[in-house]
Amino acid sequence: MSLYAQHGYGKGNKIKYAAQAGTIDGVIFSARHEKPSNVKQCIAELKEIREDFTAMLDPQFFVSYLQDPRDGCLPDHWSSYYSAGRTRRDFRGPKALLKHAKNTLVAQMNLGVDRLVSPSIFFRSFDENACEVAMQLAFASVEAHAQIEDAPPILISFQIEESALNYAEPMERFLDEMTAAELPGFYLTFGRPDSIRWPRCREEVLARMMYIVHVLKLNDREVYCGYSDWGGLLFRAVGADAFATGWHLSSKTFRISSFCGSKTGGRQVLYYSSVPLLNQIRLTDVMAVRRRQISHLVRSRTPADRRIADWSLQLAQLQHWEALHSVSSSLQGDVESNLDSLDTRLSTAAAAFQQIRDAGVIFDQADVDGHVKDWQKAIRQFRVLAELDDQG
Amino acid sequence: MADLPRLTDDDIRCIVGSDQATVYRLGSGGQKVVFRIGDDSPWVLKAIKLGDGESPKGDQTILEARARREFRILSDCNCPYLVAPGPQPLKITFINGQKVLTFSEEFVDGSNLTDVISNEAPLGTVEVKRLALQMSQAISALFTNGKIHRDIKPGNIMRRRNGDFVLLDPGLAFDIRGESLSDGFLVGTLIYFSPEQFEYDKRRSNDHRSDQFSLGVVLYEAATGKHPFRSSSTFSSAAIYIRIQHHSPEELHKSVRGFPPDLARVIARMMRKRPHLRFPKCDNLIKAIEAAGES
Repeated sequence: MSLYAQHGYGKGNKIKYAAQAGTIDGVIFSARHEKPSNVKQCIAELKEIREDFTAMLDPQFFVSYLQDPRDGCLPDHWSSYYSAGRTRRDFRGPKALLKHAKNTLVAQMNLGVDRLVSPSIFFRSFDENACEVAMQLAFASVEAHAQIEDAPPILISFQIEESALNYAEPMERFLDEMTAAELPGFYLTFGRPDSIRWPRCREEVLARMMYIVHVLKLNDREVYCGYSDWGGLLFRAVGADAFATGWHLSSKTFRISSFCGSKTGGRQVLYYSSVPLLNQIRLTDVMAVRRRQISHLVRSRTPADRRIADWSLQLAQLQHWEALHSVSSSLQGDVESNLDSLDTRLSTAAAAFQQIRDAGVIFDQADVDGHVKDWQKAIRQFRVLAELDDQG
Repeated sequence: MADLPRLTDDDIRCIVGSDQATVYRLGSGGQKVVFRIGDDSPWVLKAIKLGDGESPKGDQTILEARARREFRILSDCNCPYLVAPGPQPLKITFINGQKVLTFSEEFVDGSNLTDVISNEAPLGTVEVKRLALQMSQAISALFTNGKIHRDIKPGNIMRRRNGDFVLLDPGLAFDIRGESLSDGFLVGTLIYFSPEQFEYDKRRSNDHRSDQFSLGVVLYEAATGKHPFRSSSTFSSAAIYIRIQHHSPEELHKSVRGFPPDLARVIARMMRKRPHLRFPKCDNLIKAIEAAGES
């Protein structure tokens, strides 16, 4: 298990193709984008393709707590647990929490999922009331789960805005509490600011994201990281059982603005996911590199590479999973050796970017190599946080 | 500092209901005095002064309530590596104007780990592993009963004549000020504190992982003969706190020749600064110790 598809709008046959090819090992369905009957049917088909394929549903309960939600299928098809416009009042008292938890979990039964995902609400700080509600929902979910017969294992979901990770101390308190409680597994989503997408991330925040994943795994919990795209490689390196990414920007990077307010469309650009650079680059940049006869510096050696001349959105999306899968599959060791392996890849990436610059190629994206330093620094900070330096 | 109970040998004879027995004063510390009645008695009597006069107030009430709770937990634990309660039940007596709480507990025939360390350290790997395993089982038994020890240190561990270890004084309820029971010297306890024990607002949420840290310190000391955090500058509480919070001791398998690296890693993890980096459950810890040093 390592890479999952983060389902979103317009799934087409992508998930099936990738499952068949073995580049993804599971899928996390988005409730707001699919009716229950479709989810059920799709899971059945995927299990036909691969019996060991893991399926789960992100109930996206947190949308009910957002103002002006963009909730898609949720109000009409997932109304057993979803209702728009919830406020703090809806989470008062253990009875109310248990009801939300039970309804959300029961709605996932009979879909064929391998894990049940608990309801949660999005929070921006470990000290705010929303975090307290999220924790209470977590405990209520464990209680509700115990009451459901033949239920698959439960994952406690948390949607944490990365601003919550600006300070270490509240995060550490949160972890002390989570690891002391009987919570068997987690589905974590880190909310990113609108202006930043994976693989970019401030190093101290990224180090703390990695730390959360590492600590939960160290405490023998299952850990799944949603919407983590390239960043998922770091999470995988420090212990995540799997990470997920999708095809649109909105399923690659979690932004709370994708779930509320008016919809903003973007021009679809053709990308190529480069394993040596640990980032995606525009197809036009791939062509520029080819003209300089240095394409070995960016080539991923994924099966889709052969069709670079006929590049399409669908191909780009499948190749993205292939590229991530290829790196993720190499991270099978312990945390130290995985981080060493990523460190080596980052040094290679830095050298490749330099060689590309030296060859006179200027990429369209200005900060296409910014993640290299982010990641190198984050790995260093993580090692200190996790007290890995003295483990011997 | 609370007073020690002022008790004569006759007072003790009166409490245990034995006119002729020889009374030995074994030691005292904090608010507690320990007696052995008779030469061959398999148990000792502990006496704590709750106060002067008949009406308890403040700390005295808490002390008494906690003592009762602790005594009950000890009776329920039934772990061979935890000191067992004796036949004399918890009892309150008014003697010479003092309110005194007494109870009996197993007399552990053997050596205190403080003496063992100072005379024999570094202990061999087999003995360190036995100490680790048996004390982890004692911590586990306490935690299963909703209790953490909070004062794990060599002074509270005895090595029986057969080589088994036993944990004494389970719970600071008997020692409300958190001072050492053996010698009343504050540093003796602080230097075995987990980082979170220094943080007053976290004291209520401490769990077995706090005891795990203290045991890690004891194990390190037993394996090397050196305390991992004591230094020439650790004279004040603040200095001890800083040392425990920020100093990472040298890895055991690097400082002790032949020490199994996997057991060293287990002990290092027990001493991680943050509770969530230590072993999540006592069972995990016990399994890790059992597996260590076997290959």
